[in-house]
Amino acid sequence: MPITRLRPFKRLLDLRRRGAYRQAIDDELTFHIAEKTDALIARGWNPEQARAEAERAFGDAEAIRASCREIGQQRERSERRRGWIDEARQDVVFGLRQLRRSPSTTVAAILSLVLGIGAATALFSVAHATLIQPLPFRDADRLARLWTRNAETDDMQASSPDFLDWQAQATTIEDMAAAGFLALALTDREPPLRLNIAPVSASFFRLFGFEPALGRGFTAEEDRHGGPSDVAVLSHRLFVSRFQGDRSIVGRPLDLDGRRMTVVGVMPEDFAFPAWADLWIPLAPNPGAERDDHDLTVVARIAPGHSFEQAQAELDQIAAGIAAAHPRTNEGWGIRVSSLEHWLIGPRFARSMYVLLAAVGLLVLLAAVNVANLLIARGVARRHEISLRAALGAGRGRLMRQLLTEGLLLAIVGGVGGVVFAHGAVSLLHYFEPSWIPFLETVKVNGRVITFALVVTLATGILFATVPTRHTIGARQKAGRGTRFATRSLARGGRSATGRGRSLRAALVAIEVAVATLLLIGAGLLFDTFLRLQQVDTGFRSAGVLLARIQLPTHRYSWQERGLTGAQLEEAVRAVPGVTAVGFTNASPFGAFRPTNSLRIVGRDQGEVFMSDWRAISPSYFDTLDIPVLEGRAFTDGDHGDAQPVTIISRAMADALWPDRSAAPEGAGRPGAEHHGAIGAQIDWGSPGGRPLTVIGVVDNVRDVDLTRDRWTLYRPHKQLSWAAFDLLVRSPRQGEAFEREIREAIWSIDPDLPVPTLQPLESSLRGATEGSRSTTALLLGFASISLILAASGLYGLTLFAVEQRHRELGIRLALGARPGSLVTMIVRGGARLAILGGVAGTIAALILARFLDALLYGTGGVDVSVYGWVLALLLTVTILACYLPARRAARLDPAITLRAE
Amino acid sequence: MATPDKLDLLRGTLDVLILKSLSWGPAHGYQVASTILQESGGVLLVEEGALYPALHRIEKKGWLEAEWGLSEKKRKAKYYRLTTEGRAELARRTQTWTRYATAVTRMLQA
Repeated sequence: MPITRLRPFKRLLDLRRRGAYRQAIDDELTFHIAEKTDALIARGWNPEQARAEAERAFGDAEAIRASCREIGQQRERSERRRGWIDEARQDVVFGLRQLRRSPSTTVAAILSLVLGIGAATALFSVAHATLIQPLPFRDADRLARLWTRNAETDDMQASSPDFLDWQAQATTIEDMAAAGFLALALTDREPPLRLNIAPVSASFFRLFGFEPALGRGFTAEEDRHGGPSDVAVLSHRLFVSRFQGDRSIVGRPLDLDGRRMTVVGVMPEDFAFPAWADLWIPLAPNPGAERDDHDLTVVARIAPGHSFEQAQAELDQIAAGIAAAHPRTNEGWGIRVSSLEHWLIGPRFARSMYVLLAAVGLLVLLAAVNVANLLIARGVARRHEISLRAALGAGRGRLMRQLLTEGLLLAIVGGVGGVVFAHGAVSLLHYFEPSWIPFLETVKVNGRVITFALVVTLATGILFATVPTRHTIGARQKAGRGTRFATRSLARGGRSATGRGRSLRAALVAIEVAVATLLLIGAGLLFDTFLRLQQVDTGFRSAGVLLARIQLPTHRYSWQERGLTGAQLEEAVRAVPGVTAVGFTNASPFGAFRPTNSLRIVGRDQGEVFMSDWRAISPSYFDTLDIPVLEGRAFTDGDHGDAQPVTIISRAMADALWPDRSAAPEGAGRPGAEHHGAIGAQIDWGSPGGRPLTVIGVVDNVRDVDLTRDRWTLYRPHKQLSWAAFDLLVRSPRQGEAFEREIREAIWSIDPDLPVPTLQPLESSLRGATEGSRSTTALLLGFASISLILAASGLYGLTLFAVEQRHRELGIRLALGARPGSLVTMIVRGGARLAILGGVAGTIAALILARFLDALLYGTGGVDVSVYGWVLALLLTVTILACYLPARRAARLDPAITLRAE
Repeated sequence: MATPDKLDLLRGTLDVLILKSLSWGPAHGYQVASTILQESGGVLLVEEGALYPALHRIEKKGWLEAEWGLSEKKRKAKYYRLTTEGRAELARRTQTWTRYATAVTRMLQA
């Protein structure tokens, strides 16, 4: 540092004695009085009078002194501050120069920090929006979801009359509202637009703390069964996309499948609940509806002063009362209160997030350790410079500050880069809109997230700057030994063997390997699960099948017509060239609609109630998806409304309910198939009219809801259970726009007012089912890869360093006749020992922590030998390579040159 | 020497007077006060109570710097000297003051 100006130097000297200005002021004022006295004497005053006059003229000396002192004090403070800032600036300038001097170290350090801090910040912004921040509703912690439950299930929706009873009786609940689902076509212009409609209670919006941005919500009168309910509130999305934000839409009529609705309001942009709702209409629940028709989503606001437990206790009593009054439908049914948050965010998502956060935390730690390692290496290389500075009188504190400043500079550059990285990552999230992240629209890199990044940055900065700093100048400079350290170190030309440096770095590298092992094992387990999920035999063939969602307007199509129209649509589409099979179902695989219902077996204990999924399908459904009929027969066109009510059940259900098997009688099912005794059995399905269903067939299991297990499924022919909304499944080798247009035209040839959204491949629904697993796995794999690279680079650097530090020793060995190969082996062995140490530590940690992953795993436990084996093999390969590459240099040493270099 | 009426200093003019009096060379506080009195023809009397806080304040602003030295009578005295910034400030203030005084004078004599 050239000293260019003397003034700061002088200032520093002046400042040496704090409060020196006090004496100076006294001196200055005394001098003034003395001068004035002299002047008066010169004019002929006698000395005593002169002095008295001088003091009198001076006035209140104490006051003058006080105001001068105040100025002096301010000045001292500001100079002190300026001095500190000056030093800090020197440190920063010097630090930047140092960082520029070794660009590869600097770039490596910054890169690991950007990755670590960036990944952590991006992930935190998601965690903040979903797990930390309350849901975007007023007093979200008092919002609850109410489910109905029985012995088999605890997540059923509620029936209209039940909901009305709960609403009327509950006192621990301030407000209760329900939402249903309806799909209607908006037919105001071509082509018709299919809308997802949520019929909701009058108090629905208010319950969440929202009011319409335009117009009004629904009145209690509109929400009454039989009331004037032909009104609608638009979502902001629909308001903008279909009506271009035209505010005069309020008060105008809408044509929804011929039903005329008046728009009374528009909700604000930040209210989107349920997320799929394009439009809300009054629910107007029918008190006379069937109590086992569970079709309402019930949300509630717990009253102030009451807990969820109290609400649960009260609802238990209410459920008991309803069950007593309506034993046929409500016997065994209760109510379950859960927090809205638990429902909307989901424990699985939360668990994935926690796992990822833990992983990214380890990654940040790894990045910090890596940087610490780089800094130690550089600190050793800089020992000469540092001892020179110490010899020139830089104090220990001053040196520490210098090195810490360098560390923090790195951290800050890394942190800023990390925030930019996170910002990019969040933009990507908003672009791709992964459906597994709830409330994605609230994910932002906001002030809190940036604060988090700042804290992480400073923490890592301090962590990785302190360790090497203490190491570089620390222990060597105990009181009184500073000079000796300086001279000794200088005398050696700055080359010290630094056993300490190596062992500290070795420890850090072992930690890096351990962390990388832990992350690799976690990622490996999830990847294994993901692969297993990909390989799960779903039991149906989804390739080459397109899905078209059909919604028949319920008021235009009577019960019988629905069944007939389904068949007509199927025929029309089958006639499209290239179509090899067509079928339809009311709930397609991995769709949003997952109907379940309770059942009893006729002739058995009527207290035994079972739950199963159910589907209303067309006769060709099984053929279209290649689902084999194992026993009995498939549905035919003869299974219509006037015929005997029939059902086909899944193998899992047949196995469980009719476990006794006998050899199949001649002609029943495929030759050699086992006979379940299910065929011909009768099931009480609680269907209207009360006629039991006869089992006419057993089909193979299909995993169309949950990839990880076989569920019970009960199929009904669509003509006996006609459903207005269904998915047409079209199998064809053809695809592309022309083909899709032909399919749409075929559908419109039956009813030109039917809205048909874009046809989507059935496989995309299947992909959607594994999206959460895929994303978690991909992220964790990414983190693990980065960690492996960091650990390998740490090991590489350490080995390279060891070779360089030991040039002399290696040279001597070579001169004495050691084979180069044996030197390489010796060095690699040293690195491998570290890698194995780290690997073992990481594996033990993984074994301990694996149980936290259990809930995310499928088909593999937390202790999967093959995953552990693969990870360790990979680790060993990479680490040996990371040691071998630099170790080769040892073999290439020329002893003559090495020894002479001394 | 006739003693004209002494005028109280207008606020803010003291600073510029101090700067001006130092423009002829370094001086200690007593000299500054005497110079102002003399050069103003005995009209502007600077109270000590105002002088020293003003000196210190200006020093803090960086327009003056101080150094300890010995007076003619070998007393330890604090000498003030204009810095470059102080010189620039003096020029600026002189200009402002002149414009102001000219305008007021013109108005009062109109």
